[in-house]
Amino acid sequence: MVSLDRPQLILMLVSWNYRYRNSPMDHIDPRARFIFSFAVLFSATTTWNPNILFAVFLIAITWYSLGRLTWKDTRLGWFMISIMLFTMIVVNTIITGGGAGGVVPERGQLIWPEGVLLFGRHVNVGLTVERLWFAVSQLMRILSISLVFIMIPYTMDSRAYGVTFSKLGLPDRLAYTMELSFRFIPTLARNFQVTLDAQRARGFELDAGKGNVIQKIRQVAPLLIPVTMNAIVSSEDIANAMDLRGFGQRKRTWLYELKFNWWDWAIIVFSIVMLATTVILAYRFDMRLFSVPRWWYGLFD
Amino acid sequence: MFFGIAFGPVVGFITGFVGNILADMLSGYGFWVWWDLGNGLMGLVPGLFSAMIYKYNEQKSIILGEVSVILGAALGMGVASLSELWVSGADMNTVIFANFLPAFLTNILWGLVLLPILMVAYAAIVQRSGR
Repeated sequence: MVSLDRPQLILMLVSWNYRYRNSPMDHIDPRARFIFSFAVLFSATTTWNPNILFAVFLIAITWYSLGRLTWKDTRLGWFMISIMLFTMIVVNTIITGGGAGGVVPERGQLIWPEGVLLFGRHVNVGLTVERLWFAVSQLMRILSISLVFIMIPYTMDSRAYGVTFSKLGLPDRLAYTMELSFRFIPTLARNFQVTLDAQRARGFELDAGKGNVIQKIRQVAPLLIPVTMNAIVSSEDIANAMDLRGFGQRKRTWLYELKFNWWDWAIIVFSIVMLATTVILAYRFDMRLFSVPRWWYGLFD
Repeated sequence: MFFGIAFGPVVGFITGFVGNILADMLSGYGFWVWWDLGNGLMGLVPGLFSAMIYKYNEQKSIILGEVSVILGAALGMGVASLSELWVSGADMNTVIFANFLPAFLTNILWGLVLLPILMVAYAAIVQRSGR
């Protein structure tokens, strides 16, 4: 068996976002990482209490910093999240107030009670201090979750997924399906490139950009159909080969071995303590609902 | 959706679920398990129709396939979008207009156009190879 601790060159035709950075995150067991990530998810979604959300947010930032990721690495993921944040927070919570419905009380302290002067016109803005704090809380919650989940593809070796899910209790067949899917990607990418070249030689233009949306989707068909059919034929060949070797007859072993170190156990214990504390504070000490800290009102007096 | 129609609900679910994880991994979007689950359901629902489909290039089969695309996209994207109520604390308005509708419309558009083409192409393969 091979340990995943050592950096190894992955020769693939597609570019995975993962690369070994010798960061602290590279030395944490993937199982401990998934347990921690889900503990953050459940902790952040259990409450709207600002203190708890801020604590979870700080923990998530610390966790993210362990990955030693650069902005260049993750900017595409953050771009997608910023679109989601803009729609949810700026448009729905701050501008229209819709996003705060049900959590924030209807009436509150207006930030601009007299309205604001915009392009020489007097405009009434219904933004309240409470709604603005809700936007901050929402930002802390979504960023906490995003910080721990967005880093996974950049910091986790793609060879580790199958064995990780298997060791976390997923059925072997499902874990192996995941493993095989990851390994099948380079073959699929090569088939895609070969098909694209073959179709281009016949005069196919992928970027023609003519017609309406439906016509544009149909234009992809000469590329998509051969690739899909090829994938089905190849996967049936693999399934036959696996059947011939008696796959599924007994519990399988994995090429890559996962080993817990003391810090992995510490992370798992920390995850359990964090989640348990959040749930106890939220439900036993009634800290589950949305509240605005006193100092926040002071900023708008 | 097509893999669900061709190979049943389990394959449909796994293709959607794992396919979405892979796509997110390759594009660098991160790991969003509730949207992966939604995509899995989008493949599972057409899979439930697979028992009623015998010949992939028949009109009846294609209509059933198209219905399954709409139902699958509605359930899958519905579950994924509704999860944002809990995850992001968004309200129903946001969930419908910012999450559900863009995802649902894009998926049914691609599904409705490409599924019949893939079904007809697969029918030729089935006939040729005697599967």
